[in-house]
Amino acid sequence: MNEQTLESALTRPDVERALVSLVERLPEIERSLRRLEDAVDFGVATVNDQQVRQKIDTLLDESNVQIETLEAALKLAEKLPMLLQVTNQLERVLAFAEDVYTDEQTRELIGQRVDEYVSPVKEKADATRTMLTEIRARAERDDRHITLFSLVRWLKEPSVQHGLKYMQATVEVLSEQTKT
Amino acid sequence: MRTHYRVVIVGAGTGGISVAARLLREQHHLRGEILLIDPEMKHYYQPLWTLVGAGAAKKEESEREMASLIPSGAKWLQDKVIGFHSANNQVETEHNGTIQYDYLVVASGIEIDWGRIKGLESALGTKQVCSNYSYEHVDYTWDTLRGFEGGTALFTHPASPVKCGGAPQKIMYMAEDYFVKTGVRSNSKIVFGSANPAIFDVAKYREALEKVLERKRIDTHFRVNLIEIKADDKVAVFEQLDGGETFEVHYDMIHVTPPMQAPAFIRESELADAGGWVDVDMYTLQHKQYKNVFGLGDCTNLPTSKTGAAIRKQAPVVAKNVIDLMYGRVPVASYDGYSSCPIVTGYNKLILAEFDYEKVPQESMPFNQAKERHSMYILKKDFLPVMYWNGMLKGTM
Repeated sequence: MNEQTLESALTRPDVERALVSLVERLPEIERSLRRLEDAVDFGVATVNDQQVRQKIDTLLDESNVQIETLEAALKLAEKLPMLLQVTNQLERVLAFAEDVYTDEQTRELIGQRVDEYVSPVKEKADATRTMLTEIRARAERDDRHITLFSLVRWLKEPSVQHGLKYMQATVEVLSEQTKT
Repeated sequence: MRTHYRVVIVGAGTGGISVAARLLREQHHLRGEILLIDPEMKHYYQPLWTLVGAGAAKKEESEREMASLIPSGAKWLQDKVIGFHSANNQVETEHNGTIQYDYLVVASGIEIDWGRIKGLESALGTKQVCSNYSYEHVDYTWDTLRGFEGGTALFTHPASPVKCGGAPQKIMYMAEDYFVKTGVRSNSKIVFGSANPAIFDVAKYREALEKVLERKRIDTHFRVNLIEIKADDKVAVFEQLDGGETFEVHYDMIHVTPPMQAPAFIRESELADAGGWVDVDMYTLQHKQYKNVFGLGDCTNLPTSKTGAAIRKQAPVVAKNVIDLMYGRVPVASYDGYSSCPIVTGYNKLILAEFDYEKVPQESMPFNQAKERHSMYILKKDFLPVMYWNGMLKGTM
């Protein structure tokens, strides 16, 4: 920066304000620098202290921290971004599940939907159970002898005819497939 | 009353609440710093209304108290926004004066213009004129279907953007299915009058839906727009969009999808583009002129279908970009135009259309979603409402 540019920069109001602010804060900056210097001196003195170094060595020897532990820590650190993503996803899933569980209206809705699906099945099961009970009761009550004439009469029943037609069709299809 | 918030969100619908919830999950220090402005006391899960109109769900399941949905840490001002002063970072409300913001999110949804079709407003909910687009009247659709004894059942799609572009045809497919069940299908004719050039924009789903139309023997008229209903005579007047001629169709029932537009306070503001929609960058969702303003959902000019599913993908982008801007970073989160439309084709069948800006299918399931499936119908009817109330509005889905 040449002299003319420096001069024009110094005359800019924002630069002037910044310089004034800097000068005003100089004592504070000086104190901070001294504290930093003290901290660095302390660190250097500690590292150079033979007794302290021996204590650290002993601590490391007696601890469970092995080189494998440090390697694992490094590998874990490498995986942290991926782990964070997984944790975030898990957190969202848990938050959703918790919200569903605590939301009375949603619980009510789920209950109604489950009923909608379960009710027809339950009704069908009930109807089947009633039918079987009725069949068993009638069979137990019936003391008639089944004759050939009864069997012939059964053959006229549409449901028996339907079943027999299926049987007939099955026999025909099986027979055709066996021939080919 | 407090008049400055870090984030002001206009609209506590799907987009507004989702963004608020996401911001609060990501940045706990924003507790008490987010203001949602919305005049409504109730919040509706509108995708359910197709099923309500077809008698397959109760409308009460689609309604919740607004207060119960405002995310913890956000504040709700029950008021109408009547204008924006974007250069001064202010929104103007009807009853509470101006509110100052650092960041603004506009998610005020879409407005139905019942009055644009002559005779519709007075006839709606009577004389076999029904529409699923109103909580008040959605039951009447079901009443109309149940009372239909044959004749012409007419369904329409207007010449304007609509929320969920598939909805006008969904109720038609369900009605057809119902007429088959009740035995009136054989003496009835089903007609679809649509302003669109085809049944669907995305080729893969269009082909599947054309087969559905053929199977269901539905008469289609494309590039026509309903302009008048003569309810006493049961006559609908259409105009040809390519030519301008008008023609009349006699009906025995009509389901109307009304024209829609951006709300007036947006249309007339500096935030709107020429069409009246919030003018945002199609990827970052940041306003093109006012960089601390973002928009999402039906009120924006994003060139994709206006659906809740689209908002589900837009909300994280807006939340991330608002946070980036707060920290002085360049907002780079990007929205790819994803939208989805679960097209119900009967009482237990559904085609789940998912696609992006390029109209390329972006399917989530490991099977062909263009096929009508019972499993996808169960997903829409039973799972999506739970995902909406407890996942999307909580910022976790």
